[in-house]
Amino acid sequence: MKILLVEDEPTLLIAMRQFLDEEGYIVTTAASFATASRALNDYDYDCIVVDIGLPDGNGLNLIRQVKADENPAGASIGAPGVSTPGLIIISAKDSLDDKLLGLELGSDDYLTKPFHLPELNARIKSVLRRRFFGGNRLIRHGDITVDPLAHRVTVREQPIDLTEKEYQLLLFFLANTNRLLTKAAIAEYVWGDHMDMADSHDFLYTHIKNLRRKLVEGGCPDYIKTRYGAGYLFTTP
Amino acid sequence: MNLLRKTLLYLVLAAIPVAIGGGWLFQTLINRVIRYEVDEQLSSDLAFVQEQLNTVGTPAGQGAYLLDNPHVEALPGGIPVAPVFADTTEYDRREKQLVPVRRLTTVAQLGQRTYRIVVKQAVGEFEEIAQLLSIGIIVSFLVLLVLLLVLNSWVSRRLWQPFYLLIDQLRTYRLDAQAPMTFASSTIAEFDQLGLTLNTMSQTLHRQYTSQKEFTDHAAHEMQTPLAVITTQLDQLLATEPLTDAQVTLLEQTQGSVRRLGQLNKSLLLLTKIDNNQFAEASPVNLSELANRLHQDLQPYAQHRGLSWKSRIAPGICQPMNPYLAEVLLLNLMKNALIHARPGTDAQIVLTPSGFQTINEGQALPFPAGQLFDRFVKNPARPESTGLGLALVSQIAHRYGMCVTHNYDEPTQRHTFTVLLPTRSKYLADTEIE
Repeated sequence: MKILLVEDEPTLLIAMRQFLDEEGYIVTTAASFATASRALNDYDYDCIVVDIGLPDGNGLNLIRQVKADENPAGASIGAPGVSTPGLIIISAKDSLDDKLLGLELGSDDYLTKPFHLPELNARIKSVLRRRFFGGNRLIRHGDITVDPLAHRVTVREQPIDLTEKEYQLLLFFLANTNRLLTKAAIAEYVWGDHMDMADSHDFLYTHIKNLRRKLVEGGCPDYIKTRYGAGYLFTTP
Repeated sequence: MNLLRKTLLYLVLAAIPVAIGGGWLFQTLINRVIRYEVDEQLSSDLAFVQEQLNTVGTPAGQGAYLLDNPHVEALPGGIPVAPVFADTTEYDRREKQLVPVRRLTTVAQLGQRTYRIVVKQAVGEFEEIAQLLSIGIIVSFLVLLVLLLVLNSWVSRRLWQPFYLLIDQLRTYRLDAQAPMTFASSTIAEFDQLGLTLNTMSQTLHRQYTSQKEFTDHAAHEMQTPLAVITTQLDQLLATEPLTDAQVTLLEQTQGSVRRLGQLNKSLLLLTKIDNNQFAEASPVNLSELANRLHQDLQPYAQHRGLSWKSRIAPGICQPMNPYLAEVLLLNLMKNALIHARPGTDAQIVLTPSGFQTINEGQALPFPAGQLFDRFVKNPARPESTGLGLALVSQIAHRYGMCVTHNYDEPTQRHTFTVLLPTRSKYLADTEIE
């Protein structure tokens, strides 16, 4: 899977690149609008992550460019063999207008800074899954099988009943296996804006404890490992 | 009292003493003049009588006139007395009543004989003339005054017209308008100057406001990227091995602070945007659906805090609002109730056509109630709060003409937040939602 990262802040770009490299993607980076535009002309990508606020242009125009390339005049839309890349916008602006405009232009997701890299990773995975497998592919991890389309989780073919938050939590873990997920990252992903509550870490602990209990009761090994107080790790079987 | 009335009032106040003083002066003057003329006439009459007594011996037509005038009486002897004027009344045969009379009495020695001579003049008619004149003058004065007032009010109205226009424009002045307001010019130099000054001021204000707005916008956005870098690198740092417990604690605390900074920045941005009226578009938002969804979203947290999280939501309540702001409004109030509710108690939300309410049990406010909706006011026991949640609530409510109130019931320790929806808030401002 080839990914193009467009971000003008070098530190963030390097961190994102490193993270996604480790996930096994082939990552190309662009620190400016011009470089990104050239890269888009020269190669095809499976997923493009664009920061809107570039010093030499609006990232939304890159999305327009991608969409224009997809449907050149005369070509039939959705022609076989032509796969459209997934598009994720990252922006410093938590602006509804930008979000709506981005989605209208055909982007798949919108991520507001600051974000945690595991969250970006989870979103990329979800977008790729939707783009290339119609969301149909089952996510398997040892004894656990998740059907994202049906919103169903089975352990050893036996369905288990998870709350919405526990389900989100599991998806987040499965997207970032064998990585330390800090409490902050998990809380942000699962609760988002609601997370400015006081005792969020206790709250998180309760949910993880419940998820762990349900999985173990279903008969699978305890994949969730705690590392110091730093966070949690979802290990491979 | 407006300028026009004030002017007229002063005019009337000034006219009253002038009228009284002038009337008195005029009356006195007329009376004096009449008296002087009458006395002159009497002196002349007396001289005439004396002349006749000297030449002819008897005055012509003595006692032939009314009031026994002139009256000449030969005295057996005596010393001459200088003429003396006196005011008196005498019986008028013809008019059959007492009439005011001016009388000149003298005792004169003419040749060998001594006479007492009295000449008189009825002054009733003169007094009537004086009275008539006074009334005439007063009436003219009053008519003149009324005319003056009318004229003055008309002139003032015309003269101050540009001024009132400026006031009207100032009243509708909005700092956050798209373009700076242009004030009308006038043919009157002073008002023209005022208009020009206001124009300059308005343009300066607008420029400053816009640049400040852009600055806040940019500053906040620029801050998000370094925050993203810190967040990422802290995550990376936490993933390195080995870390001591102390290091993990430090990193976690840093992470918490960064998250708070991010929240703070976001809330401030939102407040600025609301201040700047950047949420102009509004569509009917189904508050019932929204409240239900948020209530459900917060259920796990309520459960975690051991709260019984109840709701009473009337269906189909719509309100024209920005959907995002509607969510922030309800969510912040609900979060506020959940965070401050005492564990193990009931927390409740109520939505009716007249408004939205959250009720929770908890300790009394640790700061004066008047500061509740101020920015950065928070419970000292909860330093991790941004202190902007309720400020946002109040700002959004204000933006849509809603009224937010807080009530704390001492005996039951119940906090009640009420948002009255605008259509009814006029009538129900003081009553509680039932």
